[in-house]
Amino acid sequence: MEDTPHQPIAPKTLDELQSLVRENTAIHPTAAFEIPHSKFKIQNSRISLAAFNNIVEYQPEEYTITVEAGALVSDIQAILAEKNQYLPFDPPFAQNGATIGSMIANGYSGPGAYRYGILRDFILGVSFVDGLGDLIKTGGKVVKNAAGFDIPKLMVGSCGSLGVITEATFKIFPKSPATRSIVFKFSSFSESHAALLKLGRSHFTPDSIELNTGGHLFIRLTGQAASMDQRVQALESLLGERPETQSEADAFDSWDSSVNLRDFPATGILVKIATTPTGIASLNNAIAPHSANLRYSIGGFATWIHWDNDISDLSEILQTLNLSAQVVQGDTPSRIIGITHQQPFYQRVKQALDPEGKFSDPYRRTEPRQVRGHDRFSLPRQ
Amino acid sequence: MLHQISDTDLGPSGASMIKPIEACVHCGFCLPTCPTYSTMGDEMNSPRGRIFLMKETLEGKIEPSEIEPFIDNCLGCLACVTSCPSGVEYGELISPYRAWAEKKRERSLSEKLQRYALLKTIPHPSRFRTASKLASVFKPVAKYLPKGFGAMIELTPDQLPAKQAFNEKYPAHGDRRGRVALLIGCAQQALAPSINAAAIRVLNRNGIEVVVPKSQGCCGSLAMHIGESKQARKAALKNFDAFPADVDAIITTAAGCGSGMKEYPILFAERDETDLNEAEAFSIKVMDICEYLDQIGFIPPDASDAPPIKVAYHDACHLAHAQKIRSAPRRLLQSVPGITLLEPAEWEICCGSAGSYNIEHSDTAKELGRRKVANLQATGADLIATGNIGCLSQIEFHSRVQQKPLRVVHTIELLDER
Amino acid sequence: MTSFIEKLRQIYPPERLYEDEARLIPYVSDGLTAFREKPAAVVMPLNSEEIVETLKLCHEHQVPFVARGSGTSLSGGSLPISEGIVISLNRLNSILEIDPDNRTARVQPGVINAHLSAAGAPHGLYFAPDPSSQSVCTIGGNLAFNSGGAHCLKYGMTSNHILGITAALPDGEVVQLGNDSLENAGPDCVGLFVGSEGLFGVALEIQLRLLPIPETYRTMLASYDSLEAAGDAVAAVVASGILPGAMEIMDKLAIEAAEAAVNAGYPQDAEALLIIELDGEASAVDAEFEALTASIEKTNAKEVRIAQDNDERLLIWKGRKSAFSAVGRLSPDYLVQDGVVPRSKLGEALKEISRLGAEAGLRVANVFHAGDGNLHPLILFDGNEAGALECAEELAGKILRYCLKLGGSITGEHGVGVEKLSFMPEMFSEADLNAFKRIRKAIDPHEISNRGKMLPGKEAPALSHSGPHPLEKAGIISRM
Repeated sequence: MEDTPHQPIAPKTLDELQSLVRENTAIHPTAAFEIPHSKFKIQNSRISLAAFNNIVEYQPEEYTITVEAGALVSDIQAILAEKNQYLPFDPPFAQNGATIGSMIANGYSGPGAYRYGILRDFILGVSFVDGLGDLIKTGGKVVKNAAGFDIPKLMVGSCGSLGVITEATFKIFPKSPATRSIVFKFSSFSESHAALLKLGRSHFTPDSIELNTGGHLFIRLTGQAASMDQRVQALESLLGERPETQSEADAFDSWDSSVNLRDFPATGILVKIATTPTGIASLNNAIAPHSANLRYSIGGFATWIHWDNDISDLSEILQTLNLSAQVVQGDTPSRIIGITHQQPFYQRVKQALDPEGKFSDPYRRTEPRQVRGHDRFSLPRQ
Repeated sequence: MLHQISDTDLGPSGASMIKPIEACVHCGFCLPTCPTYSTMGDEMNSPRGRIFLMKETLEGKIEPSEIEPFIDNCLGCLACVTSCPSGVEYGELISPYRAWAEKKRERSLSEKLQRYALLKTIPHPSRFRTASKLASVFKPVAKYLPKGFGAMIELTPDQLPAKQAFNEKYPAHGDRRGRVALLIGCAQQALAPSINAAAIRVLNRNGIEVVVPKSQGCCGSLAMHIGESKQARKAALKNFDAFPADVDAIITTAAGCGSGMKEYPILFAERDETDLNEAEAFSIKVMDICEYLDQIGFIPPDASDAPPIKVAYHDACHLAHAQKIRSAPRRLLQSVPGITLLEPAEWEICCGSAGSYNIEHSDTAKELGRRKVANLQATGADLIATGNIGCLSQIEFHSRVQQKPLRVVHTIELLDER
Repeated sequence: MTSFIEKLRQIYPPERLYEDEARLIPYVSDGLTAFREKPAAVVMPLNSEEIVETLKLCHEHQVPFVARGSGTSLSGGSLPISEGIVISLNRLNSILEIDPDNRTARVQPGVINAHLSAAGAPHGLYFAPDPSSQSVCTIGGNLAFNSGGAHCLKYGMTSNHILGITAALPDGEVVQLGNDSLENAGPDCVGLFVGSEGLFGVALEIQLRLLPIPETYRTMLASYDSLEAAGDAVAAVVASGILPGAMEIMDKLAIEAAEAAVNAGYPQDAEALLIIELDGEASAVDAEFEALTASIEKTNAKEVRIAQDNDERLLIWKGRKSAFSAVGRLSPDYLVQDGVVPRSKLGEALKEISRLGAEAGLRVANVFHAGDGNLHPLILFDGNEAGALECAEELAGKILRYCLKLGGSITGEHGVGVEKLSFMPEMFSEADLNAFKRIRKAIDPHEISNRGKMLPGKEAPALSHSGPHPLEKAGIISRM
């Protein structure tokens, strides 16, 4: 019995998943790391973890939550919100039906990661099925743990190439009682960039910072309501510019738009670049001659770029700037472009966890291959 | 930590040596404050490393001669004691250990000569004066002499101040608030007699009568420091006789002397009880000049029209670490109108003087001296105040070598009328 | 071995290659003196090239090595290997760059944790991980063991502050992991390398994240009649939605020891002391402080005190950070444990620890990071009493098993080292451990890098927590 390549197989139990991995020679790519309803088609998946969508354990008083990989980010966010808590790494694409597994495998964080850190800073434990079909549980369920290798972090950004993630535990935080969103509208990118660096040299710790290429600097403050006016004033006197305060509705819409890249075109290539606040100036200059959409997120530490031209041109620019990036959407030679300095170390780890090379390698081009199901699983078809 | 030392072979000082070894948990908090570790960066030149080494030696697992260089490298500054959370009294280990190991040690003729020269000159002001005149003759050829001698000659000042004699008694001004005896010291008396003169003036002005016992001698600290207990005991016994019992305190203006005299009982731990009792009665009265003035309620001089001055205070190890006196001198200095007190970085790290260390281990001492001067210069102070003659000479010398001379005075000189 | 040492002599001059007894003895232990092993040699490299040369040599001759910094591990993480060498990284102690615009720094592994924060201070920056030994421990050691500290709940552990690593793998290959951004592209190899307990080689250069020094701190001391009441106070603070920078608890024994060590001014009549610290922008902290005061008022605090200035704040922390070593004043020997429990089960865990302690007839002092459930029971014993160490180790084992039973971990920040090897199979399945070992083998085929740490099994001596160790019986290692 043959499945067509575009029909994902959806194992119902861990056993079924493990057998699938054991019995197939190539699994491309692993797990349900797609973002189903997003306009961004993030590499087709051949195995769907739709059946693994439970909240395993949520202990608000512990600041931890354990969820199955197929759980929707939006569901998790809703459950946390009931207890006034949140995922501090501000996962993008939640409104488009992203699963938490896709967030881990792709390593995506949103602008709110500026304050406390990106996804890798909040992942405490991970269970996954490795290339041998073994179920591996690493990390822990408590907020602090130093036992064993930190494989949970390794899985972040692994693009599903080291195993099928089945479950993860996160550290979560209490939501601040109040937020305030402001926009500094400078007349040019270089002015807003100068303001970003000034902010970096200060003691200010906003929740979120984003820049667009047009000189707008978006800042979200979180904390106690009583402190907001004063903090905005302090920012105003630091940057020497009067910001616009957004209404609650505008602020919600504006951050929702940016975290989901709503104003980016749906087709073409979408890439996430690891950048630095100082470095985005040269990136901005290098990209300027090409017509591309850019958004500087996490205070300049992450840059989203929409690219309509040849991917090798972008890769070349990134190499010149000594930058490394990950392709979010688009048929590209490999998922990692720009400099690929981590590859030699990665290959050793890959060899250990997936010795037969069943999962695709983000540093190499892999042709989509087919996953064979098994009768006894009575796999659902789409 | 666990050990297998049998104290029966070690005599009465055995127990004193075992206690610090037992208390050490090897946490390493002593490392960053140890002057030799911070210049050399290796474990055998750290306090916890030396404790390990002394433990193994006392257990009989390794010969004392094998660990000699690392024990010798120790300045005895006791910064490790200040930084130790476990309360390890390192000083109570290293001093008796040195004395224990000295008995088994074979020194070269040149070493013996050097130590002999030290012990026969520094503690005797008149000989020190003669020696220093001699030294200035040898200065041009210092670098050709054996290292220790070379350093000794290099460090000797070109010219000593005029000799000063003291009366036996200096009455208090106004109502008498107390009566003390002053140890005038030996090297200090030759290098800077002005310090004791200032001490007497300040004490008198504060209503304290000062007696200067005629028959007093060297306190013996230098000998104690380098493991020559016999010499040290002789010096102590001489002072037991010389100092009167009817004083409130025995005052010293040199931190090294003060810390040594406070430790007299350790010297007599394995001797007869009469001597031990006498040592205890004596040492309990020993006070540093600043400690005493702070305790009685110091009346600052009227310096309302003195120009403002920035003073950086240098903690002498034998005051800060050995006697745990840090706040008294600062309080006194701050009470003087016009003085702004500055704090140098790395206060806890020794300047490299450490008794005769700068003579016996000139390379490390030079590096430490350079570092200390840099830290003091970074404060931008007009003047450096400290409580020990050794530090004073070391800092002055190294600031001259670096061609940025610093003016260094004893704290008491700033408490005097300006 | 002889030809190996010969070749080592070609890399290092005699003053940086220790082979004699007197220079090896001080390296037999780190912060855990219960285990001692004398290495064949100690080398002191001055640069990355010497390290790479040394690793190549070790790989070629299959000689194990232990790279170490200040040797403050509490789990025996830098215990030497008798047939191997120690690579002391203390002289690779340069802060290569501080980049205030990006809030990052690049350092060599031998830089002392506190020195990095001191160097950042003129730029208003500091390095957040603050293990109690921060005045002496090195960044390289922090990286290898993913060190924690008092501020982990809010700011994470060392791992959360390392952005990039240039490392020499155990065969001498130099690799670059991560970069100078908070973000990364591809798998988080830095995350894997941090906390690998030295099993993956030697970090040569480390790119770190620095944080802005908070504009203000508010440090509160609250004393309670019982540990439980202090624990309840922590729960109340957490429930109120405040995220303090630190929440620490000390029990009576620990207070007594710390007070004797540094005169921190802790209340002496309390059964438990809670330290809570808020940090951040002044106006935000002011508002948080009001909320904190309100929730602490509802607890049954005997006394509440606020640090009046920075000196007082530093003194409070000095006392807390000296507590482990200070316990050396109460007892000639102690074992410190590092288990983690879910925060809500702190009370339960403490009750059980005290019950187990009483059962074993041993005193247990408690100092812990209440904010993240990281317990540090200090088991006091006198090693000169026959069987006392074994008894203490047995108690330690029971405590760790109880932490696991509550859903916690055997180590929060000290690492497995040699000390907790035998507990790994209780926390991880065979499949998990096999995956660890496969990774280890892929990176270090001869298993020479810090051999015998973290992973139980063939490469590790089967250290047991009771009775003499097989290597002890064979006279290879000894406990002090």
